[in-house]
Amino acid sequence: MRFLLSTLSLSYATRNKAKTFLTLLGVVVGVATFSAIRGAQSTLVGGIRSTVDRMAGKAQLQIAMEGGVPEELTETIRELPGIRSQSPVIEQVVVPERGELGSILVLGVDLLGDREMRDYSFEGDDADLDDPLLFLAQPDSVAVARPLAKRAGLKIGDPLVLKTSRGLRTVKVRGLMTPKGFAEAFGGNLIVMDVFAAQDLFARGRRFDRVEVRLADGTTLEEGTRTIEKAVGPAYRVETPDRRGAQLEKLITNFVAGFNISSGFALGIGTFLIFNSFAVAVNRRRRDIGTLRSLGATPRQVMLLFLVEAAVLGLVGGVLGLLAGASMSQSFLKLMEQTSEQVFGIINASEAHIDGTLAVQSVLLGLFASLVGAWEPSRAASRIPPTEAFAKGSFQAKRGPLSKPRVIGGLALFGAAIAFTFRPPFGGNPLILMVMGLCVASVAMLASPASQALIDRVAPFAARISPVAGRLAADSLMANPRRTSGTVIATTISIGFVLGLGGYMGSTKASMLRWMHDVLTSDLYVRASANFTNPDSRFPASFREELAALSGVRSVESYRGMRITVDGEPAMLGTIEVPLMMKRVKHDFLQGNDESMLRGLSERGEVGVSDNFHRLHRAGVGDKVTIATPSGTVSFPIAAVFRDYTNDRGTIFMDRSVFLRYWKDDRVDTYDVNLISGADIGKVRDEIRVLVGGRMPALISTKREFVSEIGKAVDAFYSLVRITVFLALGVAFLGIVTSLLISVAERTREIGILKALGAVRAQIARSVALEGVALAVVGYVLSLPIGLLIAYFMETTVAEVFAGWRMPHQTPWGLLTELAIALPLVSALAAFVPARPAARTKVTEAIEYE
Amino acid sequence: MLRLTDVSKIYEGKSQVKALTGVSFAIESGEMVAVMGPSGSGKSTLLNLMGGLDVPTAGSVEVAGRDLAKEDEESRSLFRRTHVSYIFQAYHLMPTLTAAQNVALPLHIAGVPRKEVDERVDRALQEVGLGARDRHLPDELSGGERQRVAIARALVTGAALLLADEPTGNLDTVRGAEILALLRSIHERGSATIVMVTHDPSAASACDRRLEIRDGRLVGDNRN
Amino acid sequence: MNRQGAGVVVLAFLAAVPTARAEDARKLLVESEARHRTKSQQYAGDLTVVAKDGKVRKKAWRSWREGYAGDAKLLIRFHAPPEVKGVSFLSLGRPGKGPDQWLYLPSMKRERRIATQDRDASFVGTDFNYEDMEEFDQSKFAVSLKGDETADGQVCWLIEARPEENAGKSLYEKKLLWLRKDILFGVRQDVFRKGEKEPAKRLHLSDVQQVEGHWVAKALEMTDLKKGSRTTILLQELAFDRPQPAGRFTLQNLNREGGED
Repeated sequence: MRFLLSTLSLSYATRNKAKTFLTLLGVVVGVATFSAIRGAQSTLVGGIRSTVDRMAGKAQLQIAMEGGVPEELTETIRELPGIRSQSPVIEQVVVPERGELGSILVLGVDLLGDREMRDYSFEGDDADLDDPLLFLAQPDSVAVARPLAKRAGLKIGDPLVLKTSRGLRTVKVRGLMTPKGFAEAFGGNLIVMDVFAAQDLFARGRRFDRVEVRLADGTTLEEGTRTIEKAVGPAYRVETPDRRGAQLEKLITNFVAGFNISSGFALGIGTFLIFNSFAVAVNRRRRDIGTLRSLGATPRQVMLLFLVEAAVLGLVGGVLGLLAGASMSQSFLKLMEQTSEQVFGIINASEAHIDGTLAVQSVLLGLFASLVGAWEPSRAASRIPPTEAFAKGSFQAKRGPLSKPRVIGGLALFGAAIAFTFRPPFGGNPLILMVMGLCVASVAMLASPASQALIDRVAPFAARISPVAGRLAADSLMANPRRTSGTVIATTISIGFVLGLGGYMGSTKASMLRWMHDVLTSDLYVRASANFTNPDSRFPASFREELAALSGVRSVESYRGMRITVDGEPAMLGTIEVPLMMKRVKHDFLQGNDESMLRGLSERGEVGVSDNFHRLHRAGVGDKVTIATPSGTVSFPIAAVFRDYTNDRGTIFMDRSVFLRYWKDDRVDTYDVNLISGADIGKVRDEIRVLVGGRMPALISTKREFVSEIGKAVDAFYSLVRITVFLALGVAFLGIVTSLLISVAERTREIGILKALGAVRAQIARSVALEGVALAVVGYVLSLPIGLLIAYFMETTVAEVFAGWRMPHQTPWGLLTELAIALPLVSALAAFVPARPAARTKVTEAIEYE
Repeated sequence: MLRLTDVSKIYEGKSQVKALTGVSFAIESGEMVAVMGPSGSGKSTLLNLMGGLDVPTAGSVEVAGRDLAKEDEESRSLFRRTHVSYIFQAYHLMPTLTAAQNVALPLHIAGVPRKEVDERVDRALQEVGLGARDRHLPDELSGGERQRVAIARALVTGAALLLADEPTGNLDTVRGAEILALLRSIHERGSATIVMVTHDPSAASACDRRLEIRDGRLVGDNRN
Repeated sequence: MNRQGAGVVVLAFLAAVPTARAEDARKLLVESEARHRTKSQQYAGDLTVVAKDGKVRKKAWRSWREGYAGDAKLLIRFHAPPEVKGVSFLSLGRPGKGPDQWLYLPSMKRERRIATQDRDASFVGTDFNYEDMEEFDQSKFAVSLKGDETADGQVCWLIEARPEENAGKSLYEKKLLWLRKDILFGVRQDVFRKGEKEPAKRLHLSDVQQVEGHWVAKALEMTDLKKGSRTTILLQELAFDRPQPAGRFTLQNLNREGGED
């Protein structure tokens, strides 16, 4: 056996480099995508935790509240027993004017009192602080981590311009820090400044983002937490850095979950490319198999030979894929980080790395995928009767097993996929894998008979287009059902996934746009911060009167959002003047109605919840939502459930008056300004600009601008899904190209015979191209049911499991059209390119080929 | 050595093809037999049955005392390793292996130790007069040389039954005669039983006995 | 464990006659305190920090003190260079505990409390830390006489002072004090961090002379023996026992920018 592998297989591989390469490419692409996505994903998740950990330094507990911790809190905690030290922190990611430096994390700490928390020193060898008194006395002082300083070419005394919510602000480098411990957080793209200066720079008012606490020796975390919780009340979160990291991770669960699907998909397609390559290889090496058998090789030996070949390819491909994946994962990570920052306000910056476990996993997956892909072809190879192996053409001409059980089995699997889609028996990743697996399996079983049936219809049509080339293509397609179905399966599965994911994204975007159109009906939106979910600046409540006093303004609503926790799960709290809002917004109610909502929220202090909150928390009208407020824990009855896409973890709405009563925090995120009909929007906007002028940061958008800005945030959330779709498309094309390339190479002999029979080169090339087109069309048609099922599955089942949403289905006409054009073109090209040299081979050589 | 009793072979397909009908004969150990007949007469089918590459639809094929018709694929393969060797018209050499590697192939399949393999391959190649060309690929050899490699491959296992399917069919007269002479000398030197399918009368005349097949039936059995 | 308030402000120690060691040391210190105690002290200070690499930073402040040792109240206002003008420091002694300390930053228009845990931090980039800024209060130390030794050509009592556990936490394990025998005036201090055998820092008081009838060292130099940097303070315009306006040593006054003292 070893000889067979080391000589027969190896010599085969080295003498058929191109084909081996293509087979390998399948594994490489699959494993690379898998490892890149998983690497970036785990680095992101791990990075968030390590950033939180690093930044926390020696702090054991963190006290935080949505909207910030008031300064007075530090006095409350100061004399508590068991507290060794405390230190306020402000954390803000900013983009410098020199964008090439990337986002920078600004950490505001109490420079007079932070040494207990974090290991650093601005003195000695660790750092170089020009003059500590000067640093403190001047609020624009920052200390820059050395790697950043080096990259930016910054020295002591240099200015650095930052983009803040208050516009461009210049800070001055008055110290350098050596990255160790917390200075390594955020990839070392860190600057430190005084926390009070940071309050001003980032418009935090007299609040901190959190207060960090170190406990006295002998005080346990539980004791410390209890003492502080008792002193500060339920509205504050008192948690360990680790728990905070875990909470942040929870926020991005949905975002991250999408990547599991993507990486699974990549691997699936990789497996299929391998299946196809091996199926073709078995076909091609039939005669050799026959020879081996006649020399006494047992069927098992033959199967083993192919499987071991697959294993070797899988391992090599796995390793190569891993290398490729490692280099890709950094760019994936950048993208994920941007999104997690933009959409969730979670900061992180790390170097993507693929750890040992993932590396082993990737290589093993490459191996596993290869074995799975090669299993069936290898078995087929071992079953080739030696006598038939020598009979030229008889195998290719033989129809695939069009057995009834197979068709029925395939249909049953597809039926099961549909059943799981509509009535999921369980949730999470297993469900996704299950449905995807069922789809793939059913395609594998049905594609061959279905493609034969289709080709029998499409082929004569091709013959009508072009009498000679079309006829040749048609003959070739119908005469080689085995070769054909491999290509068709690859196309079907790939395009099915593209349609599924793409369709899902389309539906999601469309429903969100429709919803925004229904809900965002004010004329102007005045925001304090560009960040929707995690605003870094807010308006004073008094500003509303000033806005309302402007001529042309009919009414002003004050929206305030807040991230809260309900039953340990993150959720969003939205507050506004409900009566005003109800006048202009038409809600799509699942439970309750306009009347119950208006009454409940504005008169009875109840809440309305979004449809996804309703599904995620299984709470509807008649139930209560328990929320920890600064005035104690309160249970709010639910007055209505309506469709809402504010937050993927669910949203609770309450009237502003109720919020003020319990939270005693009157700051506002966004003022929704409604104008008198006929008022000049541009003029009012200018007046608001004048009103704001330098006093506070403000972004003033019209309805349309506001919708498009939110749309951008939504896009960012789906940016990786979109990349996955492109990737799927790439893999789909690769699958088509690979199988066509192999199939053309296979046909060198046939082409020789055609030439011997007088076909000219152009005719041959054209016929091969036409064949590619026909295959693409068949694959496309077959992918439609799969794609639509997957799309529906994502829109309802998956979206509901993860975000509690059910997106109304929207047929992705645009995508369908694009694919209908692109697919045949690519296929024709993929077939045409290798067909030309094949058509150029001399007749005698071509016939000798086998 | 070899006994076929009332062997029939029918290929099922769109239409039924009767390849062999009620064929019975016996070949003694050490005989060199030619099976003759026109194209499609069923002589290749006969050869496949004798080597256990295929099983009859009816009847029994006894080789070295075993009825191959009753054995499964696996055991027939194992049987082939030690008892039967094939020589094909189209040589069926592995195009990516050198002459020596091709010859070594059946020994490796049978799991013969490496050292012994080298030795036996050398001997077999010497025997067919190709000692100097052992490192060449099939593409670099002439037709006659390729067939010699195939013969060496058949000899190397020391199988008692050597089945040749038109061994001279792809060769010109001179090369064909050389191959026949080679087979003849192998037959005379050793004790191998050789069955050769051919429609070349001169090839048949090199044999001790000649079986004639027509339309799937045995129509003649003559000794030279 | 020892808390030495020598710091920036003038300190003085006095000695009596040596007998039983602990008792003698205590007597010497009590006598020293009694002899040098003033109701108030004020001066203009010139501060020079010389880093190991020779880099020199200079600052100037005015200092007012009321009370003495454990009950001292201290206010310092910087007036040069212009970038730090108005930065102020207020320390209010609390009997039996560590003092309350605040730093006022005019750019932020607010005071910042110096947390107890931060007294190890450098006082505005000097070789003094916040603990060094406290007045030496012998009542918070266990003291013992270690013999006599010459310092700066003067015969001195050598006294070891270890901070009492219940007198608030200290950065130091012990201090060695050199008290001139003739006038019971402290001229040198070595401070030892916890667990260290070698002194971390050394304070020298020189240019000792009488002003308005009180002994005072007009030059202080703190050397950080580890880092190799040193900080000197030269005292000018010294005056003692001037009546201090009511409210000078309060947070309200601290926050009054450039408060006229």
